[in-house]
Order: sequence, then structure tokens, then C-alpha cells
Amino acid sequence: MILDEWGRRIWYLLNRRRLERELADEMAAHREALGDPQRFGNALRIREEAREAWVARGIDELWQDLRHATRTLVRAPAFAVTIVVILAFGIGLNLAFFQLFNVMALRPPDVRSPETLVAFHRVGKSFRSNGVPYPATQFIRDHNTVLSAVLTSAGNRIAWDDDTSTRVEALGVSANWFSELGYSAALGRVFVESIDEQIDAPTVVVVSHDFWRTRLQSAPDVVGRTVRINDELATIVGVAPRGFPDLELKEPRVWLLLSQIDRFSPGTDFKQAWGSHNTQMYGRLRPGVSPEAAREALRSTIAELARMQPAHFSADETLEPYLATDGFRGPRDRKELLQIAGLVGMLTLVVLMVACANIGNLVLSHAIGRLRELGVRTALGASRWRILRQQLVESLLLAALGAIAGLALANWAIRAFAAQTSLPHYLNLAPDIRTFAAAAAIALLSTLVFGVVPAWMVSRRDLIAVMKEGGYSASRGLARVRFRLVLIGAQVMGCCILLIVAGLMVRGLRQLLVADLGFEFEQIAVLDAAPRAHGIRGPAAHAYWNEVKQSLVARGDVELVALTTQVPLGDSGSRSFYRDAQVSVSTLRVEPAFFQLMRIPLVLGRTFRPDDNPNAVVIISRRLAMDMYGRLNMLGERFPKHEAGTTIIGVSEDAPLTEPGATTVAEEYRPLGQTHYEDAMLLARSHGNPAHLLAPMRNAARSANGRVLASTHLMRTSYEEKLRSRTLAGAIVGSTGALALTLACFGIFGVVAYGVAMRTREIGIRRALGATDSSVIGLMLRQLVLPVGVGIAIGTAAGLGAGWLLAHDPFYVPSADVLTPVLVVLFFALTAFAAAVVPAARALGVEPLRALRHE
Amino acid sequence: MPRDAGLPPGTLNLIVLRVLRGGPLHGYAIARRIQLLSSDELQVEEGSLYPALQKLLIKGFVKAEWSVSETGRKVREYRLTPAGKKQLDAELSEFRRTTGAIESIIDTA
Repeated sequence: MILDEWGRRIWYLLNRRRLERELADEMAAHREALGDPQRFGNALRIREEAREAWVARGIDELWQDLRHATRTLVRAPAFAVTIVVILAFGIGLNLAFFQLFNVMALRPPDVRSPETLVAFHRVGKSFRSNGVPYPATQFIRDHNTVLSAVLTSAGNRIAWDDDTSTRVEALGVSANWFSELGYSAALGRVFVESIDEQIDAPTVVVVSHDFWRTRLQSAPDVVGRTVRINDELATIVGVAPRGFPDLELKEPRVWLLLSQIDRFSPGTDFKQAWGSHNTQMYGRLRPGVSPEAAREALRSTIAELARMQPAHFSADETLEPYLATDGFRGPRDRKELLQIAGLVGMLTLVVLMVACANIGNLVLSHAIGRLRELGVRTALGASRWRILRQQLVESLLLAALGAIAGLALANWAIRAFAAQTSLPHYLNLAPDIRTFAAAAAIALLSTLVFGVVPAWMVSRRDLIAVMKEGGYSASRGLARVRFRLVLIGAQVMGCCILLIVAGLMVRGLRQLLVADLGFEFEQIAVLDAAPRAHGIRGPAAHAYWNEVKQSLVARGDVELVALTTQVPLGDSGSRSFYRDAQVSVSTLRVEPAFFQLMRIPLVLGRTFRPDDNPNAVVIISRRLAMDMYGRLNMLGERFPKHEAGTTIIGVSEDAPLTEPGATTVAEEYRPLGQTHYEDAMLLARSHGNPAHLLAPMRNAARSANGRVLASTHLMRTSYEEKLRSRTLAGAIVGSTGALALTLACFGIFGVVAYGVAMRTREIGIRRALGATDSSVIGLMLRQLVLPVGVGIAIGTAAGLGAGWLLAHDPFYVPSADVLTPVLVVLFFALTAFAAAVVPAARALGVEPLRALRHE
Repeated sequence: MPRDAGLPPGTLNLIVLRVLRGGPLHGYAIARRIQLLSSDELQVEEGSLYPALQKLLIKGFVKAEWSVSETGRKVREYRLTPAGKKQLDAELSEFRRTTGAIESIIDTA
């Protein structure tokens, strides 16, 4: 029986010593009985052959190598600890990034059967939208053959209880939301279709676990409590479980029913608005239905919608399904994500490479120190392969330890990062099988880089000759500094890349801090009264705003007020692409005073007048003018190009309002029409501190119409938030750059010091012959010029390239300036020079006669 | 595997098992018995005997126990197991078949 055989082998392994001793005794007895010891043969060899029957030779040797490696490392603790620490940082950084990417992009959301859950985006001939009108979702739900369930959601902000100053983030959902995603309540119950979809069902909400813990003090009696939300009394029916995910990676604190949305916003037309993309729609595919099949099958439903609502639907649009397992991303978004992730991943690998180059030097030095021992082993019969393998095992052991330490470090780093930024609480940051696989892969890669080459170099030597002459000449040959110089070059290159990218990011950040964004925001407060959600439409909304503005303008500290449909430094609204322009364009509907309020200069032409036709005039930004037409003076021309559209009456300076500092976006301003007042927000510029305007703005909104619950914020708060993530990113890259720089300097220091030690005799001779101090130092440093120069050259090019690639995402601000890379290179060169000069100077302390006798 | 004088390849296992069928023996005794039974024709070298015995142990065809020999020494005796008996029968019939076939070729060809 195979099983028995393996059982016996394992039993042998466990009792190995005793059994081998017994065999030795047995053979000794046999030999005695023979009377002629010579006839017995080589007892040792027979024992080895006998042992091989039990344990495959390779395994046995590997085990020996492992034990030997452990012993060696224990005897050289400084060496081992240094390497493990460096590796921990290098591997840990890579793992932290990978795990973050894994959690946010690779893992599908933690829901039931993500392979059958799709999100639907509307794709038409000239537009794409990830929102669907609510009444359309209901129609689709009732008129399709391919979906077993339709889920809907829409984000919202509500006033909780008596707290009127801050809003709580909420999500309106369909009643099947929790059950379709596969979650039940931690306390109480979640929404249930049969109960909550009824017309007269009581108003109910579910709260998130985190909200229950922080805001409601984990009160055990929260289920059944009534609470005032906006102006409606609602009952809390349950608390969601702790890890309940959000499909958009947001963090709603409260869930309400979309079917009850008009109770929280009386007068809103949310449920009947065929023209607005206000709802996210998801579907559960029936068994056996692929996303493509669903898309095709839904065409007939869309055709019906087009017949019913020809103004809002056309028969040639589709509902594009995106699977949960793809993170609800289409192929184009996936590609973009991979590109950015790949770029950042490569940067972290660069750090690892620098670390490994450093370690490679250390390993080589360590191996040289053991040349005699290896010579003895060779004399005793070890093959070259065996020597090589033993060194590799040592390197692998170090890499394994480094990987484990790196995992721990990465874990800690991610949690710190999550606490600093506001990653949603339900994200499970614990490492999974992919992380461990990545750790193993990175460890192996590191070993290849820092372990293989030194091991191979050492095993190549004639080790017996080494042993005989005490190691001098062979170690000199190995110290043929060429390999070390290559390592230095690699480290220099890595450092340059990191420092340059960090420099570019810091520079970009400074560009944000320095005020020329194209607009000024410090003095501005924002009022979001959402008239439409409160049922105030059209001309009524126009009148409403007039009343609000009147009461505000009467105040002494208000300089200007203006309405706008998109708030600067807020969430970016929709962007359009025009046929004749490369830039993406934000469209805003604004009042004439907007430009003055935001301090956006008009280069040409004029601002809007009250008698302008809202559909006939437009003001475009400088970038759009240059991109589409090639020149600035476009007054009186048609916009968009070649289309019978509107007339350009002014050209403004660039003011990327939602992506400060971006260079691939442009703006298009139009006057407010009667239908735009219900979606507008009010900006107010204060002479003094804008914080004093917040409460009066809310009061003005309420007194103009008692139903309105408005929220306010300062524009500079939005700016600081936008800045925070970039500051963090810059800080991270900067500190890894500093880390890499430190490593590289250590590396340079070590190589030069080693070179000095090796060439002491030569230095002594030169000085005895009358060489000057500077020529001796020059001798030491000359070898560095080539690798450092090449490293800087390649590193700078690669760093600039990486910076340029990153700049394509308007997130990072590119600088076409030469100053940053030049400064970086200078700084690096100085540091490297200092690191080299110090040990070189020690060469000057060498006394010629002592050196000559030096062995 | 070093070739013993006169021992056809692959038959060592068979011979050892057969010898052990007569009762448990220790290593030296097995070598002596083989020498005796073959009238000094076959001599097993210890270099092949012990590895072969280990392999039989792994496969579970023999078991080893310590006991005291005639001279009062502690010796390890190998004993045939039931599995070993079955293996012996299988190998015997295989061997007989092969040699029978060879014989018939030599006699008639």
C-alpha cells in the first residue's frame, strides 16, 4: 500500500538518528562475524546508500542546506538583520500597494453571486450615463425576460433628527437591496419587498453598523425607535451588518426606500422624472443568461420606452451591462485603471530593486568572507552545484524572512493609510491568498536579483586554490569591483526615478498652493437649497432664489452673490466631448455676476446680460477657443464649430473649477434658463470671514420657503479636502524616495570603503612614490564616475517619462519645467559625492610602509 | 548498484525473500545462508545486501526486530511479512515463467 509506505518513511524520518545508529551497530556486528573487515566494504558508503532508500537524496541535501544556512545566519546576526530589515521595507512597500489595489480594484464586491450581478449604463449615440431615470427602472423591471431582479439606488443627503447644520450621507434603495446582495440585519430587520413596497407602508430606514456605533452609541434598543429625518418621522427597523459593502465604494450611513423618497423630499419629482439620470440600476441575471444576451434582450424593452417617451429615449440606445466581477467597469475603464496601477506598481518595484542592489553588495561581501570555508567544503567533495545551491538556500531563507516581515509591515502601513484617508469601514483590508502569492513572488524575485549573481560568482572560483593561499588573490578577483559598480549604477538609477517623480508631484502640489488656479475661493460660501427636491420648479424656483438673494445682499458683509449649476471645487459634473476639440468640457449655467464673484477674468467680450437668450449665447474658456478654433478672437462665431448652435459672446481665462490645476479640461458657460433655477446653487463672496455667512444663508433659504432644508459649506474646505489626498500621495512618494536615497548612499559608501580596503597596498605604494592627496582620492572616486553617470542619465529619463505618464491623469499636475529634474540631479550628485569622499579620505590616512606589509 | 559475482540482475530481492521464508535471520546469517544454499556459487556483497534489505523494509515485505543471537550478541533479525510472502510468490512465478521461456528457446532454437 502506498499509504503504508509513506507512513513508514515518515516514521523513519522521525526516528532517524536512532535507526541509523541501529544500522551502524548491525553492520558492525556483521563485520565482526566476518572476521575479515576488508571484505565488508566501505561502511560509510553502504550506510549512505541504505539511507538513500528511505529519503530521496535531494530532499536530504536540501534539509542540510537549510540547517547550515540557519546556522550561518545566526552566527552573523548583523548581516542577517540588516538584510531582513531592508527587505522588509522594500517588500512591504510593494505588498502594501498591491494589497490596496487588490482590495479596491481586483476583488469583486463582497456580495452574493457577483458573477450574475450587473450594473447598467445608458449608452446612446452621443452620450453615456451611469444613471437611468427612476420611472424607466420600474418599467424595465416589469417588462423584461432576462433579469430575475432589478436593484436601484440613488445617493442622498438627509438631516438627521434635530441636527440641521450637517447632513448625513444616505442611500435610497429598492426594497430588495439587502436580500439580493445576500445580507441580513445585524439587529432588527432589513427591507423586505412584501412589507416595504406597499403604497401605504410605514416610513422605515436602516442604519449602518458604523453609524449605530458612533452616532447612536450602540444602543441595543434602537430598533423600533422613531427619528425625524428631514421633516418626516421614520422608524429605524434595523442595523446593517458590519461588513456590508456599498456598490459605489461610498459609505452611506442610512438606507431609505426609493419608493418613499417623496416623503423625505415633499414635492420632488424624483419618481416621475423621465428626463434625469437620477438612479443607479443593477440587475440580477437569470441563470444561463450572459451579459451580452441581456443587453440584446433589453433592446426590445428600450424600443417600447422610446415609443412611450420619445423625448427622452431613442430606440438606438442600449443598456450596457457591467459585471460585478469586473468591478462594474467597462473595458476602457479597466485599461485605464491597469495603466495607472501598473505605473505606480513599477515605482514601488524600483524601490525594491534599489534595496536588492544594496543587499547584493552585502551578500557578496559576506560570501567573500567565507571563501576559506567554501574551499574546505570543495576539498571534501562538494560539487560546484552544491556550493551554489547552498548559497541560494541562504538567500532564499533571508528573502522568506524578509517577506514575512514585509507582510507585517504592509499590514500595518495599510491600516495607517486607511485611517488617514477616509476609506470606507466595510472594506476588508486583511491579506488574502493573492497577497500571499504576491509576497512569495516578490521574495523569489528579490532572491534572483540579490542572491543568484553573487552565488554564481563565488562558485566559479577555484576554491581549493583559495583555501591554500589564504584567500587573498581570489578575493581580490571577486572584488573586481565591476559587479559592485553595476549595483551602484542600478541604485542610483532607482533613486533618480523616485526623487524626480516625487519632485514633480511636490512641484505640482505647490502649483495648487500658489494661488493661480484661475479663480479665487478663499472668501466664498456655498448654499445648496435643492429647490427641485423640495418641489419648487421653474418660475417658482426663479422667484425663490430672488427672495433668497435679496435677504443676503442686504447684509453688509456680502460682496456678491451668483447662482450656478455646478459648484467650483465640488464633484465634477458631466463632461462633454466635442468633435473638434481634444479637451473635455465642463458646462455651467451661471448668472452674470459669476465671473466677478469667482474672480475669473474675461479676456475678450462681455459677461451675460439679463436680456440675453439663454439658448443663444455662450462664453468659452481660452483653452477651448485655442483647441477648437486655433485662435482667441472668436467673438460672434458659432459654437460648437460647424454647428448651428450658439454665438460666442466672450472668452474667459482658464479656470478648471472641479480639477484644480488640470490642463486637459476647459469650460463652457451659459446663462440660466427658466428650467435651470431649480438645480442651481448659490455662491456668496464675503468681504470678511465667509464662515459668518453660513447660518444666515441657511436661514434665508428656510424663510423664503418653509419646506426647504438647505446645507452650506465653505469653498476653501472643499479645496483642502481635494488637496489632502494629493498631499498624502506626494508625502508617500517623497519618503520612499528619501528611503531609496539613504540606501543608495550607504551602497556608495560601502563600495568605496571596500575599494580602499582592497587597494591599501596599492595606495601605500603610490604614496611612497609621491602621489598627492588629491590624486589618491581621485583614484578612489574615478571608478564611480561611469556607473553613477549612467545611473543618473537613465534614471532621469525614466523619471521624467513616468512623470509625464502620470500627468495624463489630470490628478497629477505636469510641469514642463526643467528646474525640478535639474535640482534633483544636483542634490543627488552632491549627496553621492559626499558619501564617496568620506571613505576615500580615509585612504589618505594610510601609512605607506604599513600598507606595503598589509596582507 | 554494484553487481555481485554471479548474481543475475534483479534477483536479489527474490533470493532474500526466499531465504527468509525459512524463518527470521539477521544480516550476516542471510549472506551465509545464500552462500551455503548455492554451494558457494553465489556470494552477496554486504554493499548490496543492506540497501536491498532497507528497500524491503520500506515496501513492508519484511519486518526487523532486535533479538539475541546464538553467540549472545544483540542482532537485528529480519522476518517475512504476509505481504512479503505474497510478493515472494509473485516474484517466484514470474521468475519461473521467464526462465522457462528462455530454456525453451535454448532447447529448441
